[in-house]
Amino acid sequence: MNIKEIKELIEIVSQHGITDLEVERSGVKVRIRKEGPLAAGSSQAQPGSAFAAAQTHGSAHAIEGPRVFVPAEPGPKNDEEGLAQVRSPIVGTFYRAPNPDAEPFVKTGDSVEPGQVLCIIEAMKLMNEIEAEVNGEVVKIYAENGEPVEFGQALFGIRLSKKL
Amino acid sequence: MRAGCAMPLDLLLPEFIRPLLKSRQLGKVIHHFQLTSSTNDVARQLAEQGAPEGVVVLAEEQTCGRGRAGRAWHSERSAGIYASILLRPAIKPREAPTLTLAAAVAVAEAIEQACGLHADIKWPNDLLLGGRKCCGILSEMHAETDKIRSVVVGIGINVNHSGFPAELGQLATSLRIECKRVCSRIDLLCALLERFERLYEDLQQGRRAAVLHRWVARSSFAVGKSLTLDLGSGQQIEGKTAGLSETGHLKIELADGRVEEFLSGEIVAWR
Repeated sequence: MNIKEIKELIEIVSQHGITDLEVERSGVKVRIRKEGPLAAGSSQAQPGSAFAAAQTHGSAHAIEGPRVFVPAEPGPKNDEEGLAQVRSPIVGTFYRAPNPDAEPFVKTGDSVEPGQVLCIIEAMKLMNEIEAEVNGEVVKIYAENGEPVEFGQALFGIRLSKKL
Repeated sequence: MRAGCAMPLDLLLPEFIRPLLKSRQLGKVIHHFQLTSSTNDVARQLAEQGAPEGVVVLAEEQTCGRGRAGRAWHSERSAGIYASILLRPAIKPREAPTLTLAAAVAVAEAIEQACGLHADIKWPNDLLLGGRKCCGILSEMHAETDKIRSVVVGIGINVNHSGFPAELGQLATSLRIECKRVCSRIDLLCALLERFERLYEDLQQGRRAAVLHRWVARSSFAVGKSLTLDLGSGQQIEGKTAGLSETGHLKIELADGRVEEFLSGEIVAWR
């Protein structure tokens, strides 16, 4: 979400008498609240994971006020440490290697490049190879081999290479 | 036909299949190999090169046919159907696993149509005759975060195998062993592609419940089956099946009465 889109949201809030608007897109959540008759609106943008967004979504009914939800898209997003996060596009079982006897596709500290396979997520014998979408170094592996992962759950944290 | 001479009419050649195949898109383009590593690998390469939906890769023999977790698939020359179907479904990646259930239904219905045998479906998509496996399905998806680029559905059917290596003896069977005659691979393949195409259209048009209903109707594993599910990592659970969830996950009632949904794992024992 860019500044222009946030400005547009603020316009919507002020023009339509909305007191509270929350929008999530690409893992970024923006909440715009009209505090009083004089306030134009305040906005706070916070980086959030698609997983966290999904949880927020799940409890949306508990929060009052009109709101617009744009479903968060799982994918590499920057978390608070500046890591690109690789997320699961499906609910499934996380495998770090192509078979139980093989070496993991990647380990922490490995350099990866776009198209390189990082892991497999399996659901009902549908194998989904997850590839890196960026150049960088694998800094974090959030999921355990053989464990179930949720839709949108962070799997890897990748520190982007300085070089383009 | 002289003894010892190759039987060209029994090959799965595109020119033999095309006049008989009544599908609209699946199998309109067929790549046939006498020998290849794995039809799934070939289909994935074609997908990356931009091949259109519906392309089918067939091999008379595979050197590296494989199943789940890197296991080998026994691919005796010209005895089975070793096929991979390239799809580019306009559904979300998270909805794609149901495709594997649809493929199992398609194969089961095709076997019944072409050979008169009633195959059972072991969740999610193994086909059994007399408790032994006659078909395995391994699908591979290439997806962006919210968009599927391609799905390759790999199907291995033991059609005219007269026997199996000792290590598979109790686990595997073929249509020929079960119905005691040679079956037409071409008829079976055509029936499979035609039926899978219609099930695939059902999924694309949001009729997932109808597809799951057909799976449940075909499978003795759907409800009331006592079984052991291996979850990998040395973990196994026991319980009794309680149907499918709306996404095709297997519901199992555990010993304490709780019902849990499972989305992967392998049924290793059943009664």
